[in-house]
Amino acid sequence: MPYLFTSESVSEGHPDKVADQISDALIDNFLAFDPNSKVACETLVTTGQVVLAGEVKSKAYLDVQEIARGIIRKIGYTKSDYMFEANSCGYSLPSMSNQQISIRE
Amino acid sequence: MWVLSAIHEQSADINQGVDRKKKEEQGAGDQGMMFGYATNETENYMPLALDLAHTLLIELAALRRENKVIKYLRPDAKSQVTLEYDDNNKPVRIDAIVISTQHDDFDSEAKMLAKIEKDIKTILIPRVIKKYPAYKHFFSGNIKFHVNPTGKFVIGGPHGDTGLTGRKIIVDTYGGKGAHGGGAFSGKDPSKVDRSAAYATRHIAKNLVAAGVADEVLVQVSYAIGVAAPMGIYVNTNGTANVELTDGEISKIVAGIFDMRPYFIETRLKLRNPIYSETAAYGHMGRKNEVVTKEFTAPDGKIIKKKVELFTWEKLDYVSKIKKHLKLNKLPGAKSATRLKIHRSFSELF
Repeated sequence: MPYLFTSESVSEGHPDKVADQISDALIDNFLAFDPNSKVACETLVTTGQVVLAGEVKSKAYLDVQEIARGIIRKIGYTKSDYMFEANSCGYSLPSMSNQQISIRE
Repeated sequence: MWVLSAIHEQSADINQGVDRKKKEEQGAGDQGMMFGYATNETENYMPLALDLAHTLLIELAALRRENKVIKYLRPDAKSQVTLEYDDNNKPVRIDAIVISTQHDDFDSEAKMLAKIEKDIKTILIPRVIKKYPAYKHFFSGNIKFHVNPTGKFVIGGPHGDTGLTGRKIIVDTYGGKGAHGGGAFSGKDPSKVDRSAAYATRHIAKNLVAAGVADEVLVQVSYAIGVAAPMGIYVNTNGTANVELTDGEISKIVAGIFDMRPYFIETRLKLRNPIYSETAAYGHMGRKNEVVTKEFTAPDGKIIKKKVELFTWEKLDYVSKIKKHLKLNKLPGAKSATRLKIHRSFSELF
């Protein structure tokens, strides 16, 4: 008796995949500057916002905001009518802008 | 867009279980079980339905970036492929394709939907067919198409739905074939066995299928936090083995070939390298193994270059070793249609 089997996929612009790509871009940057980095990093993306949370043990010093923006730009969210785009600072919190991580061993 | 960051230092309590003086004895970062799967259904040993679903979206993204033949595409999209299998568990035809893609607001809703459906069928699908010469006939039948079945899809991406890391673990792996231990990959460095052991089990499964041991292989491995040696390793051939060995016997041989302690996985697959951005979309498995040079920019503007090898777990570098250990040199190989039974008892192998 023949049967049906189904699989699905999502594109790089799907919100869950945007989050995956930002998380893995951070992993790559930590490993590039300190191969012994220990990182667990979760990302949340929603209208005009990116939230990062996680644990890091690394000698690397990263501009996480610029890395996240770079990924969003590469994916193609570059127009303001997308309501989520790489360069807009419409919702930026001054105290959070250019936030960088510096957690050392 | 703002970025809120709450990244802090790892718990020293958890860390002490993972860091060991002797690096070979580095313990697993957590408990858990991980699975790896491979099938000879496609050239890259991936399940066909998932492979097609990924390729549809890879080509759709390529069309969006080219911005020549289709000019209204936006980044958010999903695909789904339903295949019909026969009694021998071989795919015979595509039954249904679902594609939803975000798009610009370029016309009335009815006109936009008609245009998108036409472009998917006459531009995207022919590009995908070209990638599957062996399965060309699958596209000639009566396929049920559902293109943007909910209607207009202008608002999408993170504005339409909130996105989280680790919510697409089946898309990342085998599309529902095989099994999944539940642990996501993205955002984890390779000391986390959720990631490293899932890659390692895929490496084992693919090499076993390529060696001709079975048409389909599922490998499970499990760990305890802080303990280096795995709790167990299991190979399931799902009745497709081409050798006169039980799954238990194959498991024991595999455990002897592949050291599954975290340090040895990291070393064998060169995982302590910046190789993860490429895995984060269109699947972590079944991708092209290649050496590339990547650039990274430090906050001070300094650029460093790293030459890295991507998708090391897709290498067929253990096929001859597996054949040697299983004494399988006379096996016809995975792609042959004839299923040769090798009569060799388990005790003979040791």
